[in-house]
Amino acid sequence: MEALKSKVKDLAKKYSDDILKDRRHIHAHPELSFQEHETVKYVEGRLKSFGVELQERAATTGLVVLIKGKNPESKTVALRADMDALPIIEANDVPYKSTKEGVMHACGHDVHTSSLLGTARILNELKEEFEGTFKLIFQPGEEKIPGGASLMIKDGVLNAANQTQAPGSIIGQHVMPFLPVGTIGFREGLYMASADEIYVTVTGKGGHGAMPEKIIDPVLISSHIIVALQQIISRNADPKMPSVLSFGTVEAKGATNVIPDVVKIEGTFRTYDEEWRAEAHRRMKKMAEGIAEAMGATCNFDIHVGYPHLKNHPMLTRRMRQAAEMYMGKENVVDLDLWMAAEDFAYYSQEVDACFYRLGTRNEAKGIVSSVHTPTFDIDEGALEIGAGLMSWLALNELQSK
Amino acid sequence: MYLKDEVKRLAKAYAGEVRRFRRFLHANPELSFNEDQTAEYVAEQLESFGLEPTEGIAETGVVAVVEGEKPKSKVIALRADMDALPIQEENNVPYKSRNPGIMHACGHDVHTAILLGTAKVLQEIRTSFEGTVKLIFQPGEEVTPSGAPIMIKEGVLNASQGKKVKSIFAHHVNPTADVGKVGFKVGPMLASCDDITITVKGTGGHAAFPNDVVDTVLMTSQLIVNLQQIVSRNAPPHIPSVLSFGRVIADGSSNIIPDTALIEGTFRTFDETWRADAIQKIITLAKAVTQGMGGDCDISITPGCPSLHNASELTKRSIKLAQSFLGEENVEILPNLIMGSEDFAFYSHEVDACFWTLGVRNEAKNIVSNIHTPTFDIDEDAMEVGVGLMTWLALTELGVNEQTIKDSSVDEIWKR
Repeated sequence: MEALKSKVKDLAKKYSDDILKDRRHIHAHPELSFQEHETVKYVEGRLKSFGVELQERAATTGLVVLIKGKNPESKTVALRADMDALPIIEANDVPYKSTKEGVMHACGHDVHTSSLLGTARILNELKEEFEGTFKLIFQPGEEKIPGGASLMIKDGVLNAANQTQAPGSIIGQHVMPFLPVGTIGFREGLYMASADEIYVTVTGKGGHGAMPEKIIDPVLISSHIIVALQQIISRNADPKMPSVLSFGTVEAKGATNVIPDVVKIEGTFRTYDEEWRAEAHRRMKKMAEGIAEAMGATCNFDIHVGYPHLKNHPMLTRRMRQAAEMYMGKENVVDLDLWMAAEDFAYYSQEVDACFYRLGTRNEAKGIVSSVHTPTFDIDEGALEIGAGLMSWLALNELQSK
Repeated sequence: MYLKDEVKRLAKAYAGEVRRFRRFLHANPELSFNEDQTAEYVAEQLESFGLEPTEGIAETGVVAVVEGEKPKSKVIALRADMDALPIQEENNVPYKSRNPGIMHACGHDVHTAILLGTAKVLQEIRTSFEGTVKLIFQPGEEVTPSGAPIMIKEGVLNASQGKKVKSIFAHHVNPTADVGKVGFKVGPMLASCDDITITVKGTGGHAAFPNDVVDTVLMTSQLIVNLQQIVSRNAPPHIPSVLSFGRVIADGSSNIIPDTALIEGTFRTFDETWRADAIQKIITLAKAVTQGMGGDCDISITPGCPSLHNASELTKRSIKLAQSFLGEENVEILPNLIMGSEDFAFYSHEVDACFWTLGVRNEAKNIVSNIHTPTFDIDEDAMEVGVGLMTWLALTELGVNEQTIKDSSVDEIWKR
């Protein structure tokens, strides 16, 4: 294995300039969710130039790629990258700045995609060194409900195909601007939350603020609903089950002396258990509608169901962590906390053994500290060589594990 | 001729002139404290009646006195407001507002024109009454701080002819009552009105990390729910009180909690002691709720008008006099308190005051729009009623010259 590790490291180093060019090309040409037409064409072209021919489109702008080693029917491991960008105006002054005003790779999907291109090239060159098949998933629309992952799964990406097994496990990575470049983070078990958007409209009867007897006050009713829904977390949730219910928008557009007809509330619900999640949805809706009804108003409680929670398979993740320690050195691998944000890799994790790990991209000395989803997000590009090399190494380890 | 009939005759005779006053004012509306042209116009008319107006009181206010016999015996005041509203008029009438975006949509043109007409009649019959009538043309009724307290501060109720103003009268157009009708209410009539602005301050952040956030949305909701007890638990049950919040803006998103949230509302009641107490309680509770939840709030309560109280004896007398002048069927005793407010209230806390409503509605002519709307207008016949009644109430309040009084009903009613 030591020899193989050296080969991987050497190839990662050898191709690091090309990976960097790929990243910069993709960064400069970002495309919004489910519109990744040019990006996927670019990926197809690059793969072809590496001699990777087994490619098939899925979910329109997604791509499934097979790299077969010896005895390709024996086992399949899936690797995944997402390709979409965000509706953000880039504020970085860099040569590879977005050429599309208002669209930006502010969540590192350019890094994930270019890294996976590098991994494809490395694994393709090491075909003689492994038994089984790697299935590379370049997916669209991670940032937008219903999530590209769910569409890729619908299109059969986790099924057996082309004389290969259905993947028994899947590996994905995500940039982490809180972790210094050169550091990798893992977490076994529950990692990221399910996230549902909540849109509430409370309709009462507006009127002059001086005539409360003639109105049904949606401002007060909305307040009661927000206060009462706190007990979903404090009284209904299993205390061992992390759950968050937050409301960030309240819009009552009357005046000091005019009560409006309607108040709009927007929020999010996040947790880590699918059964509890469904029950919480029912309870919230019932409570809000009941309060509104009891106070003479009506309440439209609309839940936009988002991604499920993301769970890292404990044994798979432990194996990947050990492999990462071999590759990076023990001191460069850290444990991660629960993260209440959501990620559509969660869909894969509900279907097969999954491991989603974090790639450090921070460099305080270079002033690279901005969070994802901000106009100044960028990475230390030293992370690219690690992103491509480490994933190749993890994939090879997983394929060989019994 | 009875004096009452003489007043009626003059009100009728000058109706055309009063209509011209009103139409000029309506076509040339000016916003609060910018009533320069209006004040000039008012002063010119007063001078043409032979009066000597004083301008520039409370910026654009005008005051004049009509002296009857024995002018030092007693002083009463009549008040009109002069300002218009920032509303674009939609009426298609010859006297439509010529000032874009400004409109006399609350009838202050009517109040001013009627007081001019009243001044003209009083001046003409000044030998028929004893005492002095002070005419107060006030600016800025519609804004806070408003014109009345400034006029008072500048001495409008102070000694004139060596006598303080004893009582004050005013009326307001009422588009829900038919033209020809007036409405009175003894005691409390209109509410005090205070604007409340609360900025709830917390720590915003990503909605997925509640432990890093001091949630302004939840604090806002708790606050609005908690403040209900000001009315339900703290207000003396016999004092009508309203606390309403019409505007709440928490401008985050489904997954972002904002740093601050804005709440705007109004507090209205009818008792000055309770009002002051309630304002303190609102501030204390708002601070306690937000601070208790780890945040804070800036709370500003802009005191508006106090509640308006019609002096009991004066108003009861005025009701009887109005009945004798207009006929009992045309004088309504208003059954309910009105939770709206009016800055005439400030005068009512200084001297005996009587404030009544003047019907201006005419469904047959399709004159039905509410005040503060772009289609508000009046049946102008109301102005003859207004001039007549205001003159009549002023005369009878002052004391009619014994030589001219021939109306026994007045003699009976008018007893000090």
